Amino acid sequence: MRPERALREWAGGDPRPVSVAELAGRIAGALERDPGLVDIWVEGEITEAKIWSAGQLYFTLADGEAQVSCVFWDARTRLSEVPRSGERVLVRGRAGIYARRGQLQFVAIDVRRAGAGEGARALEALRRRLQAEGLFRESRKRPLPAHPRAVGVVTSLSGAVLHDILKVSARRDPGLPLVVAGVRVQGAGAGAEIAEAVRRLGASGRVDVVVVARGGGGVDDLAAFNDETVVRAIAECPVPVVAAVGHETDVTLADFAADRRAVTPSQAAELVVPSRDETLRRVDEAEERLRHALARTSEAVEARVAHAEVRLASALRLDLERAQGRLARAAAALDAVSPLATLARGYAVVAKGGHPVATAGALAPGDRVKLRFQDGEKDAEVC
Amino acid sequence: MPKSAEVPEDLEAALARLDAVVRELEAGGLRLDATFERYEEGVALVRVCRERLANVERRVEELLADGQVRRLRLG
Repeated sequence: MRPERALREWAGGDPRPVSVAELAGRIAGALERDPGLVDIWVEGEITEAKIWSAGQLYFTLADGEAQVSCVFWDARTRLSEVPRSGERVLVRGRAGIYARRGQLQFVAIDVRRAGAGEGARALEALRRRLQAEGLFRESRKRPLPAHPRAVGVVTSLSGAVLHDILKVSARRDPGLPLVVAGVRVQGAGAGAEIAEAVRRLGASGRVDVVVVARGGGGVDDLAAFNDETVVRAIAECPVPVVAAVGHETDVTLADFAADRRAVTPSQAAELVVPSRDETLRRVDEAEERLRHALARTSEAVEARVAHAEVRLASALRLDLERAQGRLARAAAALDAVSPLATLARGYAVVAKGGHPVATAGALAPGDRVKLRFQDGEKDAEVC
Repeated sequence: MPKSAEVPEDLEAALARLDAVVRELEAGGLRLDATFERYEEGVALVRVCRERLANVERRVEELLADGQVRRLRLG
């Protein structure tokens, strides 16, 4: 009997058989299409947790009635603390099938302790308390220096964050000194290290601005940046602080306290490192404007001098003409009243004792007088 | 004002002063001797800024717990 016919006779349905792989594929597809399985949180207890050297975590999630195998591919990089067997957790992920073993598998992308709700409440309480204290106030925020002498960086010495900051700052201005304070950015004690590094950089007097940076991660990974000591160190830092913590959607209390928030470490570097080329262009432009302003001043001075010369010359000419006119008029007037002109017409002047005699009654017989003619004087006696 | 105005050491202050000098000169209305003084000051500031920016030697240091610094070594 042919299998297809046998199938039909046995149960009906589609008589064409499928491969096992295809069956697994169809199950996987069905799981992916079910919105109740694609992105969900599952609560349960961890049993049999095992982390591999490559970083993936295999564990079983169980409650009293069922259990599911789980895998977290990049657990080591995404989780600040690897969950252990016996812990009650919330796991975020999607249901899938591990075809090779025909096993249902929950693919996790986040794991939190079941008590995480308490943590969130404590964080909110801290936020409110610090806000009430005024630590996040807009008026506290200081402008970033346009041209810092040096830039401080608080971050992990290993990893992409420091690399990105170094790369961007080298591109914008290779000559700007950077002072890095290396810290652990997650795990127990990270908050204290970060706070201490911010204080140390602030107190060093070596930098005019500080960048506090960390790459993205789960909420637990960013816990250090919600630490009260970190928030206070940032708020009290004597120089402005730029926070670049996590992804754009992760906002920590450190971000609230910082003078400026950057979306990524690279953007933080862009904000604090002025472009050397732009600054040079600004200096060139200032020099050009200086020259121009001086040239304009020189032109104005020359024009003023030239104008003064013209006025001076014309003023002198006017004075001369006036003087000449006055002289001519004076000469004419003098001429009109001069006694010489009268003598020239044949008159003589009589003088007695040096004084002219104008009337006959002024003379008595015997008086000696002087007669003045146009060509000289003669002595005479009145008879 | 003294004959040679003090030229600020750091770039930020030098650039700010340079801008002020340029604006003052461009506004005009200065006495002639003040004009030349400002111009000389501006030229000195331009030189200072260029000197500061001429440095392209990379300096990345690590601030240690005791406040000392050393060249940053990345592992």
